[in-house]
Amino acid sequence: MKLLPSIRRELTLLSRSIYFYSEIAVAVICLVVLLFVMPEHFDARATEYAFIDLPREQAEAMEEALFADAGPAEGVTLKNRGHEIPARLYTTDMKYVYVVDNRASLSALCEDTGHIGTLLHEPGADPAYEYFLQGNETARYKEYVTLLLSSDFNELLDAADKQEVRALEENPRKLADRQSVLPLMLSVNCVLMGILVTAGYIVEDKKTKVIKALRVTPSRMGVYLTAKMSAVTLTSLAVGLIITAPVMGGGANYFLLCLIIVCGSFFTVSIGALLASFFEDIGKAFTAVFAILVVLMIPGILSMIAGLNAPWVKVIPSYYIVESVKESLLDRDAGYVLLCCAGLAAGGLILMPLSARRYKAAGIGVGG
Amino acid sequence: MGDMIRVEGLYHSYSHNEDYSVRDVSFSVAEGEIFGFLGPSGAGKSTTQNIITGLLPMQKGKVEVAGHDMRKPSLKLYNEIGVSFEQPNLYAKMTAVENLAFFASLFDVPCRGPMELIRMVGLESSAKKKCGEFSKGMRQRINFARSMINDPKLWFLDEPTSGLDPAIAADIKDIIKKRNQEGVTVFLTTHSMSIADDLCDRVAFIVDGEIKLIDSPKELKLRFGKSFVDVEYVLDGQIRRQSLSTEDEEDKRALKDIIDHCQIRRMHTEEATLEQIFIKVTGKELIGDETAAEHTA
Ligand SMILES: Nc1ncnc2c1ncn2[C@@H]1O[C@H](COP(=O)(O)OP(=O)(O)O)[C@@H](O)[C@H]1O
Ligand SMILES: [Mg+2]
Repeated sequence: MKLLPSIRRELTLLSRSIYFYSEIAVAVICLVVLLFVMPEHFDARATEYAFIDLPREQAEAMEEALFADAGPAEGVTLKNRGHEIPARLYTTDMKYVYVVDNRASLSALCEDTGHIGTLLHEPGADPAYEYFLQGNETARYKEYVTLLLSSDFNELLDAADKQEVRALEENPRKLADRQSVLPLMLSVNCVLMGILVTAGYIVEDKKTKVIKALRVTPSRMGVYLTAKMSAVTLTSLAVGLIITAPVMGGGANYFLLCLIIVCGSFFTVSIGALLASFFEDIGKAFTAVFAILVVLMIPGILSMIAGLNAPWVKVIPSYYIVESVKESLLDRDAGYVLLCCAGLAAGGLILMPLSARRYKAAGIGVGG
Repeated sequence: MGDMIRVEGLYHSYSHNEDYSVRDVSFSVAEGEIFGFLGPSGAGKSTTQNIITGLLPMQKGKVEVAGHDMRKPSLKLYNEIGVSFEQPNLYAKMTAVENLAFFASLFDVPCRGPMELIRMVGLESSAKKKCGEFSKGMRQRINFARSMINDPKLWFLDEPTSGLDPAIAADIKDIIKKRNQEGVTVFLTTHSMSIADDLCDRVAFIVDGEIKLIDSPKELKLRFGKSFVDVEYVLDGQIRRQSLSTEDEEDKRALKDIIDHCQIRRMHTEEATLEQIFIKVTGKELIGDETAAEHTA
């Protein structure tokens, strides 16, 4: 069996190369960013200020009624222009509301912090509400506010209650915000490792002309390429797991995840090998390598933009890596993942003999 | 004795047109022979070796190596042959031992130990160093060592001693001689006269992709020998030396001129050197560092 020594050689070479360590470094940086910089959930809650302009007792009753769902208030002290402003903080699903005790504080806070403020007047007074906007709110937001003020509030509430809400996704289980970056990172990892690293390696072998020396041994060109692919795929898998395991913990389907990383890498590596067969040094290969890298990274990047689901991304093979990674992380649609794996593996199997033939027939690595 | 290599009407053009780097080359190498391709740089020696060893695709002609048709060579062939290249090609990030051990693992036949080979080429003190740190000469020696790792019965050597210092070149020559005595057939290319003269049973003179002549150095010298006169004479108070052919009209006139007008210090017929014969046959000089060095030495 000549494959095993060849894989060992490739791993030895890999472990002595700058590519390998930069790849591991990138993985560690990604992990640090994920774990320590990125919050587990992006906090999308807005901050608002409010003042209820009523006699003390009525104000308290009103406040209690308004924030009945928010849980008990938290007494806090806000600092503004050297003054200390006592406030009560209510935290709802949607926002943080600081209730202050006078109009001056409210307007000062709104002016200095850039958040929105609401002033609630006596019942029957006109206007009943006063909004402290910043001027940079969207037209849509202003329209909402106007709508709320001009229509009967109770009518709106009734309408909202009657509104039928149907989920578009049957299984709305979602990745936590921090986890939702993983499909991007893992697909980019597959693509970078597969194409850049493979092309870099093979071109280096071409430059040192070792391919020429390998060709006068009874070992097949296919074995050389397979060994190279296996080494890169193994590294890609290791890096993928380094990033995933600490972020996902036990939740993911690791079997499927490993499978999709292996098949995805196999596919990208075979592209890298084919690419490398056309170039004598990595500088000349750069434009082609870069263009293909960018295209293959698009699906990962698009996956981060919620709601953007252009049908044409499905043409890019790495889309299936991104989607399969998502499914494996959620431990959801195993059938889909297996199908994608089969597709990517088939793609690799078509490309690989093609490159093997090119390395052999064209006398690549012989010239000079 | 069967032929180990048989080449008939071989042509090769890198640009796939009529611009041939190798043109109508035919020769055969018998088992146990050391056959040398002798020619100046760019003559097409490496190209020929690369085609015979299956590295370059066959375009036109017929090549048989150890019984294998090189139009469709079987991988098994590579268990029987060893190939050393002009330019060293090793894994720069692996040590000498690792390089040899790895290549050994690719053969289906028992291979020689890496250390034994490294010792043979005198590099035992650098065995554990990465080949990337080696000088070109050192890498070339490892390359040479690698080419005999599978104990080949047919050995291809492209410029085995070029660029090596004379003592090491002599060691390499001895190794080749010894292996040949053990029955190994050798095909080597060289632009060095001394290699051809000392090692080869037969040489082919190759110039501009064409073989001009094939014969044994001994036969060539007999054929062309005694036809040179080595003359040392004094002209304008200076001692000069010249080799002149006794057949070439111009040389004959020059010799007569010297005898008529100069004081002769010494004069004797001389067996022609291979280089003189090469120039005579091909009209070209074998310009190369080594040949130049040999002559000034
Ligand atoms: N890879 C190549 N592509 C194009 N031309 C080449 C290549 N290698 C060699 N040649 C040309 O073929 C001719 C023979 O070269 P080569 O076989 O290397 O000569 P030698 O080994 O006798 O010095 C030269 O003119 C050289 O320029
Ligand atoms: Mg050459």
